[in-house]
Amino acid sequence: MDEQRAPEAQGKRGSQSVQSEPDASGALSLLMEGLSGAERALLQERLWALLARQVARFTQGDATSLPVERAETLYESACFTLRCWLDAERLPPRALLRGDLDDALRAGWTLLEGRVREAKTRYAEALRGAPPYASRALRDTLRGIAPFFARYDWRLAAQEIPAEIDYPLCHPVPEAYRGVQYVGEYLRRLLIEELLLARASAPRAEALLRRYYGEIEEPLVNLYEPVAACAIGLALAGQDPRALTITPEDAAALTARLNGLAAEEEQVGSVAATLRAAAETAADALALPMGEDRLYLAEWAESLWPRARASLRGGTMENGALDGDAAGSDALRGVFAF
Amino acid sequence: MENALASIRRGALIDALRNSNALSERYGMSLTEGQMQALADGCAAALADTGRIEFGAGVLPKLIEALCDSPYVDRVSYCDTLLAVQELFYYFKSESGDAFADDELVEALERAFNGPAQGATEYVAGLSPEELYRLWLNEED
Repeated sequence: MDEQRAPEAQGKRGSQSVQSEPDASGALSLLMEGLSGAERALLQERLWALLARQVARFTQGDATSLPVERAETLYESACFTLRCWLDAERLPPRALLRGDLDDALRAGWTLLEGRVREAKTRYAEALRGAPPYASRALRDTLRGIAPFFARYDWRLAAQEIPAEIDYPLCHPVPEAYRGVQYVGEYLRRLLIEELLLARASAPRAEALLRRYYGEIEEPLVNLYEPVAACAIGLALAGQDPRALTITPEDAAALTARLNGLAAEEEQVGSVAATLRAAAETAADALALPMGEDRLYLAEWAESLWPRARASLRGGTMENGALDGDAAGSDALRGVFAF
Repeated sequence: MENALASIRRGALIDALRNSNALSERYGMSLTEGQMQALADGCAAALADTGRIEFGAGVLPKLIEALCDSPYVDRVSYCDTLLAVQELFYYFKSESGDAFADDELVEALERAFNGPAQGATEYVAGLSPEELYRLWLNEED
């Protein structure tokens, strides 16, 4: 048999830890937001006709039928691409009820093609920016992303992620992200994390990570979280965030500050501003650029508070004394990586 | 919604079958409205059985064009033959991993049906995709 006629995407969705199985109904629902029943029916009819033209185009008129799974992948790809185009153009789904859907799809392809180029640039930066103490998970993930740029097919399977991505981020990419949207966003966040690690002293950061995790080569752990938390903790304690070591004296000061924040929270309701200010102090010390790097750190600082508060309420921290054997102290150690 | 789309597709298929009658009538073959509905039902069932989706009028008009002048088809067996060959089309399409283009498979089925099968669809059903392909390939030579 002429093997060149075999379906083009067979085997394309082989290994990928971030699976995006064909789910045409899910992709379609993204396009249907805010539409009336009649509008939904019309859009679905237009999408069906678009799919028929797609099938004819990509089989070069050789086939009028396809396996359901293949058709769903094509359909989902078109829906995903159109959704990206709508978002980029700031248009409502209703815009798909008029005009030429083929033109919209082509514009979407151009958009995705540009995003692949952006992701490729980010990928090159991420390779260069990996810390010298990068774990196996981080190295494997960086290697696992490489095939994406050769195998990603924005015309036929734009929603798929032909990559092996295991390294956990501090702020994970939302699961709703698909295709190049996911990979581009993953790399954007990874670059933010790598930059903070690069601005910290490598020996100090590595020592901190080994203290905190015990071992960093094999476990599937995030490298940014402890370093950032420690820097924020030091800022809260009034110390230099670059030290990346919380001494017993620093811990006592941090505990006192956190107890003060807990009381403040009861009175004024929020400690977010204080935590964000600590993150800003840490960002200044680490010379992080303005913008998304600082926002990322500030969000991490805020997310530390529920765990810190819970450890304070553990009953061992009220007097401000840090006891290495106390459960609450241990919990606080876990939060700020000391 | 799926029903609405299925209805649209079925309508396109019935229209195409009506148009095909113009050709097949030259050879004394034509489909009644009831037979067209039966073929549309058979098409839906064959697609479901093989896990496929079809667009537009599908392959039936091509099968009609290929078989309406067959020496092994008469007015009585015409519709049943189309039903059986249609089912075989989707079967071989899937079994071959879509290796056959539509036109190639229609041609292969026509050659098998009018050749070694001598009008017996059961014989064609007993062929493997490879045998069918070789049959089509040899005839090409």
